[in-house]
Amino acid sequence: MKLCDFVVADAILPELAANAKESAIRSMVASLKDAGGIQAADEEGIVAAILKREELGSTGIGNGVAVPHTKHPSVTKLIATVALASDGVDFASLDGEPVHILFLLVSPPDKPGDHLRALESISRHLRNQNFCKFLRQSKTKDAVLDLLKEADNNEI
Amino acid sequence: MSDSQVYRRKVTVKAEQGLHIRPCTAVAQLAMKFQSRVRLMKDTNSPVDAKSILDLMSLAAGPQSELELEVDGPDAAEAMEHLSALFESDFMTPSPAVVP
Repeated sequence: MKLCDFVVADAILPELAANAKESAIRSMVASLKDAGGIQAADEEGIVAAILKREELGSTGIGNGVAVPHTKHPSVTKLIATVALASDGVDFASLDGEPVHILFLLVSPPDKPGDHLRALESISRHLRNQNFCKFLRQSKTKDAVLDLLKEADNNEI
Repeated sequence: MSDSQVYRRKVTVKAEQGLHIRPCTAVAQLAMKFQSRVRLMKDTNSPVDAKSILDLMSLAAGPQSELELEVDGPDAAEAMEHLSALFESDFMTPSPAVVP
């Protein structure tokens, strides 16, 4: 699965202003709504579901990365957005470090395989130090998008 | 005489949704409690570091997939026992207390 298959381009947030977990998640879900990825009526439910998932254990998986996510019946196809926080977000990460790169996923409940494949795609690229470095240096939506495309084409 | 031995065992991902973030986190957190190098291999792909959640996520191991667990180091026997038990428990039960 390619990053550009599920990342909603218009929802990318290259300069996330939030510095706390809940506000970061709210900003990212709002961005998905503004980009038309989800309906306004579902926004609050999706935020609540993601926050509930975080209670089971932080998705701040270390190395400055967090992957907040939920399943939600309102989406028929897995969608995601990317946010970059230059100041870092306190995400109660496993390594205690602030988070700078966030991938937020909303997936249909009946497609667990797609969720795994999206996680595989995200993690494969995040294991590439250059990808992480270039991503954190990206300051515009287009720069992030270009980088995701390059990653999809294995050009990094 | 060597105090280090490589242990290998097949483990099965019982989790209904496969090795998604929560099971990956459980495996990495447990693996990190041991000094031994802990690696997981799916099919004939290169082994990944089981102490790294990102590495584990990159396996994209679906439900019922079979992985090879390889543990190498001074506390390998104990690490293998606890990690196998975690897979057997379907990642649901808290891991037994581990003396560092």
